[in-house]
Amino acid sequence: MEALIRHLTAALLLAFGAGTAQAASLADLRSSVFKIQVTSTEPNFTDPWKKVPPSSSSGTGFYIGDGHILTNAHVIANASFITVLRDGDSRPLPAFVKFVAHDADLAMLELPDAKVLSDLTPMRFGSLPKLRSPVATIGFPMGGEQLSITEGVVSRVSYRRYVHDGFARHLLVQVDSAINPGNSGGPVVQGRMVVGVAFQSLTQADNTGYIIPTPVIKRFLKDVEDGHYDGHPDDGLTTIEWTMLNPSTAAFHGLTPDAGGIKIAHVAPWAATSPELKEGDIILEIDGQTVGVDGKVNFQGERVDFRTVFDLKQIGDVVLFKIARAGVSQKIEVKVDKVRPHSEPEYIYAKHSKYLVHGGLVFTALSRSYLRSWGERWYKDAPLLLRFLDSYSRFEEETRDSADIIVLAKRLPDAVNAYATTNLYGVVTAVDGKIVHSLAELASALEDGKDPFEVIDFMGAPEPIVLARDKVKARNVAINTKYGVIPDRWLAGPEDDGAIGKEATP
Amino acid sequence: MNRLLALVFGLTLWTAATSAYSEAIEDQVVRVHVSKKEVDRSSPWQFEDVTQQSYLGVVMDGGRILTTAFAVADAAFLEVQRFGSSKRVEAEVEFVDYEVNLALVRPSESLPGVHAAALGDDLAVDDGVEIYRARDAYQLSRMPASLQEVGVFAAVTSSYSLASYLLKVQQNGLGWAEPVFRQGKLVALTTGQDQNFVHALPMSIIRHFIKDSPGPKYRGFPSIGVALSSLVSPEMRQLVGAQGFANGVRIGQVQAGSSFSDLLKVNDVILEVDGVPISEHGFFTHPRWGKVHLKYLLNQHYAGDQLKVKILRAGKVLDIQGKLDRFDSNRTPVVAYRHDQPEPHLIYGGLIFQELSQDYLKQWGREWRELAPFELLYTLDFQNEPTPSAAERIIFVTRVLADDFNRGYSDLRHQIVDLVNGVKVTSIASLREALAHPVTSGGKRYAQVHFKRDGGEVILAYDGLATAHQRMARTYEIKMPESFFTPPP
Repeated sequence: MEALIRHLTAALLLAFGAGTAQAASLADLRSSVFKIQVTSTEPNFTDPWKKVPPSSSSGTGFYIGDGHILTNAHVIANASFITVLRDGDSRPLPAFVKFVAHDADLAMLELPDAKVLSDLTPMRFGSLPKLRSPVATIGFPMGGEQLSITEGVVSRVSYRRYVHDGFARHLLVQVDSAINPGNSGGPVVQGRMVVGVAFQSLTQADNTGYIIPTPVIKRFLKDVEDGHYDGHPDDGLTTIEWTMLNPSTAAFHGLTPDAGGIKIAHVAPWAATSPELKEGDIILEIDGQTVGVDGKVNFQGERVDFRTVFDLKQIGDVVLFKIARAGVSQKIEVKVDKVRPHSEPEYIYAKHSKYLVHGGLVFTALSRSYLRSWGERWYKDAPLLLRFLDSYSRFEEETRDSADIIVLAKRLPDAVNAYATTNLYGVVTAVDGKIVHSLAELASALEDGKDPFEVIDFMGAPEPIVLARDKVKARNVAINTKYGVIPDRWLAGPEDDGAIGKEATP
Repeated sequence: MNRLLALVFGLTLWTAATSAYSEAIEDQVVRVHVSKKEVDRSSPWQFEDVTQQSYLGVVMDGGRILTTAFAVADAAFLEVQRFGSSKRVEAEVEFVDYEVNLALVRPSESLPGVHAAALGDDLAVDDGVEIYRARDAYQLSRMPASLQEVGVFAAVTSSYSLASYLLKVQQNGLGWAEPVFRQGKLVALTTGQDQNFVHALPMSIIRHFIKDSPGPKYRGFPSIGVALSSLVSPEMRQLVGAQGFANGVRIGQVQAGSSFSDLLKVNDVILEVDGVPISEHGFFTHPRWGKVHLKYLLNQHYAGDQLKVKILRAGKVLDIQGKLDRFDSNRTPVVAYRHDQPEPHLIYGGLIFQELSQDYLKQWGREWRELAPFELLYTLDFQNEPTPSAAERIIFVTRVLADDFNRGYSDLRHQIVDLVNGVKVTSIASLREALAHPVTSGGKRYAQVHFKRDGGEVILAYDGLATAHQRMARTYEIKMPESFFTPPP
């Protein structure tokens, strides 16, 4: 499996691609490109009330009009201070995050004083670039104070994982020019039109870069028009490619071997596609586009995963599926809605990881960020149950309805929890016999319970943790003071982004 | 050079001084040569390369040889050889109990000059012993060791917990069924080595095994089928009503269908077993060994014995008595071991179905607990509770023999099967039965294999199956016709 890296990590110098004909024609656009300097403070995932020491990084952004600068979400993730510097200028200007889309690795910045940008030409967006067409990446690869322009050719259009989110997949375009740390967030142009935002690259291959193409950027810009970012919809579908290639499978479903289509293996109950689509259905078309046995459709001239069509919708849109069910083909409308609460194995860019400290026991929510606290080899070194639930929580009866997978992450020793030494890294299922689906439910079950003992059950464990309710109540404040746990919980939802927004300014 | 000479000289002196014992013991110990033929778990219709290994065995009454079950597991051919003789005598396994890792081997002809070892008693902590290992075809070499402690561990060849000596040694490479003697009497048999400690089975376990009548009347070793959890937390003690008691261990799980499943409940507290008080961690005080887990009290019983347990239930003391059943590692859904047995499997249209086993997972080598597919490891660790009925296996498709017949499915790997033709399958036999009742669509017959979690399903026709199987047997050189599913006429 190839590993994509989040940029801003390694220092790499790049030869400046100057002096070409295209670069010359871009002269007046140069002033619309910004170097973005960021000081970020990331949450600590093992002691979730703390932050890790601040670090600095830089990226690129570009002016899109209305006083707004577009960049990558990973450039400004958990930023506590942001400045932008125009190419050719010497005065960094403070900036704030207006909208951030961690799932699509995009962010929109604004300046407190938009007038300073009034003389700039907003960059305009083109369409999905064609295979083999040349593109130019503009940015500030690390180590360079001057703008760099690198030329390359579009080598692939696909639907793949966005590394910043860790889980979400979207349309992306691969180019054969290197995208280096610092390039992130920079415009990728064809002629004078932006066709993408540079954002990630392969660690194992030279000269392979990935850009966020315009359909994803345009979706982001449209999503935020109502003043709020809803995010990409999640179809919640698990499908298995190629099975409809099998003639007897096709015949069983009353189809001919050349009918194509892709079979559904699982529909997540929290997704908008449930219950309209069902396991065993064969998707033949999506929005009138024929779905092949490889699950691909024609999208603006390229063959990409059928999910691309669903993924680019806004909340409230309608997707039209043509399916075969029990040998009968039928059309099914799915209204794209927000997904119902559930756990996803993604990275967290909130102010803090969700947590609750109760009686000195630190409970947190399973996330990819938390698993990464086991290091680079987390997928081998993290506890088996957590690795398993990272992949399979949506399929397991005990966890599929959970908004959070609740993990006992730590014990802050105190007399009230002196014997609660079991179940470290265990997954909480119930309190006092009542199932808990989230950290918020855990908090109220522990705090509102009336029994003299708090009995906390863990998945697959023979031994619960038992605490004396009145003693915990009496000691909570003292324990949190002793260990510097302030606040004692962070249960905030998606609105709680870790990067600095304008409302945070004095 | 001088130093080396001095060392050799010193060793010679030492050997000479102790030769009186060694000579006698060389008449009581034989070499056991084993040719092993293990099933290839990923291609279960064939075997791994044959390997040759040598172990030791101790001569028992009647000329039988005692060795470990590990030594004779998967043996295709066995020979015994006495020290000082070049003659190898063919032998066969007379009886083996993999649960306790012990076996008796019978030579096809009597070995001249050997005599049965005298059997000693259980050791006390700090007792000095000698571990004997083959130096060459003529002599044993003697390693001094001492009993450090006694622990309860799962046997090397099963998941049965039994008492084991930890003998402190200076040497490496021990643990291959070397006999342990004290004052000329056999006191233990080694089963493995962990750094400076050699694990060895105590005489009380060995005596239990050989005194039981090896053969069809063998009773075997029992268990009560509960999982214990320490009862140290005062809160938990109060919750289970044990606040007035200083000792006793909590029952965390009761396995369905086990000896005491009708007698014991979760949150019962075991106070005494056989009249012996049990600590909050489940230990008792052994007169020679100190603190030992109560499982050793069960090791001393035979399956079928009555066991008396004093428990505390909701604050009330109860005396319970029940019959102990023989322990069976393979009552869990994931097969614990399958020594000497063929690997059950069935091929349908190129899909290879097997029963999930620890042997299969161990193919990933020493780090199998990290490297094996974690859906399978999860099943082993979290979904492996014994079921009340006989073992219900986890059926999974290990891989697919790529062929035009299974086009579109050839990348399937390690998918756990849920239903076949709408029926839950729990063994290769029940899979065969389910496949014999195909589903129909448009007047044609199909096999519908439905997987757990995200695996979806496979649908393959009945038509053309025989031809496809013939082609696969040729292409993949599968020489066991019974590997393939044959539709009933």
